[in-house]
Amino acid sequence: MKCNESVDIMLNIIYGEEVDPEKAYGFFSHLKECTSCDLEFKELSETRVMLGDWVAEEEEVPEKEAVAGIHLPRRRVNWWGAVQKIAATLLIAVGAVAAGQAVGLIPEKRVEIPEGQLTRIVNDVVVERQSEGWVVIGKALVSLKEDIDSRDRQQTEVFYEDLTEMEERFLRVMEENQFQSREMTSQ
Amino acid sequence: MHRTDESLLLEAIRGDDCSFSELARRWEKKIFGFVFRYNGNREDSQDVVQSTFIKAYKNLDKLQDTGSFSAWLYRIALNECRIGFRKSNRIRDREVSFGSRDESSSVTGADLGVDNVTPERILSGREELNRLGEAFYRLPGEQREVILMREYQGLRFREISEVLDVPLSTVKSRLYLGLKTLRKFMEETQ
Repeated sequence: MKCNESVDIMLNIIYGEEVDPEKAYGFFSHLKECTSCDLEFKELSETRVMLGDWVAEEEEVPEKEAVAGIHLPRRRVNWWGAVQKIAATLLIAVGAVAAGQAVGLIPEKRVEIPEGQLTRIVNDVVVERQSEGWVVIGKALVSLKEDIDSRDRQQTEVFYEDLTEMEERFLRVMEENQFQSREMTSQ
Repeated sequence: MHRTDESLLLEAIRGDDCSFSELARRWEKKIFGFVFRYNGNREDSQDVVQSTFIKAYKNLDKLQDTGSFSAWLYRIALNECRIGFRKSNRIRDREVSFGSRDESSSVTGADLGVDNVTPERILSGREELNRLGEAFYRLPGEQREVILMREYQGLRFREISEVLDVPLSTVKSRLYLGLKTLRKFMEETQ
């Protein structure tokens, strides 16, 4: 018997599994000749003994939490779960198609539009653009008008101030003239 | 009248909840022991046992061979353990205490080849078991699972192969490697 053949029988013997008597005899004969397999057999047996000694102290099932008390759910069809699965599958499929189209694996589907419908769409777009243009022009006009009004107001104010100043000057000159007239009259 | 697992299972599949409860009562201790050894945490183990039986209950109609109920149940429990283990990504808050089967007896000392059992010797034996436990939880999952099923659940190699759905030779090689790794760790930490 070779060393690599002995491992299988070694485990069977250590764990009390069924062993062919002839093979068992061959194995023990091999151990007498092979110190390495003999040592391995002893070590594995000792390890097994140690494992057998190792007891989980809290391994007992707690009485009050016995599984028999499990609240068994109703066996029924999980519709919500099914819907979720279908939705997820659809999403994945759509994503896969999009990815395929992006890398060119799947040809994109061409959309055929009738001529009449295309004309209407183009017209709608043009009208929409024109409307947008008029809105812009209208806004510009309003802004310009406000600007002009503002300037007019400023100019009127200046003119008013000038007039006021002229009036004051005129009144002053008048007063001076009257004063000089009175002086001359008194003389 | 004692009813076999198979007859209870057939009744449960037909919709008899009492039969399933009886089955659960019969298997809960074994499954709890398995799960507790696997993850080392009492609270998590209770949750895993609950989810194992609930999954089994919900999937009774998917069980093809009623004769392989135990393997099927262990497979569910193992999957639940693996899911829980992946979630926590580690064995957290291990509560498993390591001790010998009988502290008062000379099991520890005798197995260590010691004739005079003193408190020091017992303590040394206990430390050795602690190291063994530490080594056990460091093992790769697939080796730990096989040791757990063979050593603590008493499953035969063929049954383990059925639970794990791997060839018999794979079961043996995992067990062999697991034992060797344990031995190596024990020697290195001595």
